[in-house]
Amino acid sequence: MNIEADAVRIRGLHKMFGNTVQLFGGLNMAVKSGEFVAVTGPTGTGKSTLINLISGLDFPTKGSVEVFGKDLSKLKESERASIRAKNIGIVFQNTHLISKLTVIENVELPLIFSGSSDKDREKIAAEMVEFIGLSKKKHLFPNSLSAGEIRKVGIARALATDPALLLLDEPTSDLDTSTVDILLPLLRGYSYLHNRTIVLATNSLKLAKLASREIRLRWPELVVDAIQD
Amino acid sequence: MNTTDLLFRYIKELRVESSLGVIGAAASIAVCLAAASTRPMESNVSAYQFALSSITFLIVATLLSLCMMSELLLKRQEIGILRALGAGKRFVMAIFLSKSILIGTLGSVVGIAFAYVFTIITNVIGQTCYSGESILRTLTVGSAGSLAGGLYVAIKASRLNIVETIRG
Repeated sequence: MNIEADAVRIRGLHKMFGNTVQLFGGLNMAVKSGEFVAVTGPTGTGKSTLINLISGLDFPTKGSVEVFGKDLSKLKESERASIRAKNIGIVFQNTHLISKLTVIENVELPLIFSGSSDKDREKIAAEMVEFIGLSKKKHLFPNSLSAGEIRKVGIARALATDPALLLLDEPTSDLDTSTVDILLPLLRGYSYLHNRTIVLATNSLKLAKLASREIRLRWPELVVDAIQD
Repeated sequence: MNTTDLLFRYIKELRVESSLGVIGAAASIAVCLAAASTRPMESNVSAYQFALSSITFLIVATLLSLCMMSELLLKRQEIGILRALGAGKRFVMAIFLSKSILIGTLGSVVGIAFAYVFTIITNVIGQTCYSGESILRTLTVGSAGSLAGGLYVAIKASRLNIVETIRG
């Protein structure tokens, strides 16, 4: 994987849902390595879909999405999985922790899939849990945590592998103001100090202002012929 | 926690559906063994045993695929999350295959135990021909059936659309 190339390059992107909704309208964009970009736009404009496309979880109907110089849709599933495990950290809109695993085990997950050694995995996971201030709760299961704590674990999980590209989908939706105030400088620092690329999908203007650049998505196009049919 | 621990965490989680799978496999294995212990005419022994083994294989495979399918429906979102975090298709397949084989083998062992008890009773009534060979054959059929049933669901699980499963 060529970390020196643009972290993300999108060309002529279209994504159709059914036969009626067409997102992105041929979007072209590039995110340089180490850049912190906010993707904004009202609900329904495709922010989460864009995150899914960049992470290789979904594929464009037309156009291409390249991550560190590789078109993910042209790779084998095993190669995409490997890239996600090693180079991409994802914070989902609804966090999605594994209910049968403890806090620390949830943080360990991406480290398991990226092939970290047992020693590194335990050390890194413990550090990440301490970093989010949940050391005392590291052996608890997600159903014992508050929504904000679950969100923090989701963020720790995404950062655990020290990914070159961090994708965040509405990362502060369940967090209280004080946690947001801690998290935001941290994200900025992560991008600048570690030269990591961040793509942040958000509705929050406060969050978007943190980014070095904002990409505003347009309303989706409705294919009128298809609706009439 | 490493990959094996994680896999084991999924396998050891036996739900009601898994217990039903064990019971179903046990019942079919017991019936197969018990039926194998009563012989028709000598010339038809092979055909009789083949028919019994085939029916048992089909019953165990169908039961296990239904059992694992209900498991998959419950685990859809988790499978999507694991895949999104970088788990490969092989890992997902391993979860379902290992669990299916575990349930099938457990069911086979329980079924053989039932059949053994049944044979003791029928031995009192009349003569039977319950042998080590038939136990081994039945165990093989049970394990093969559970592997076949699990394989179908494992392949299905590994091909789930990640985005759809995460949305729930």
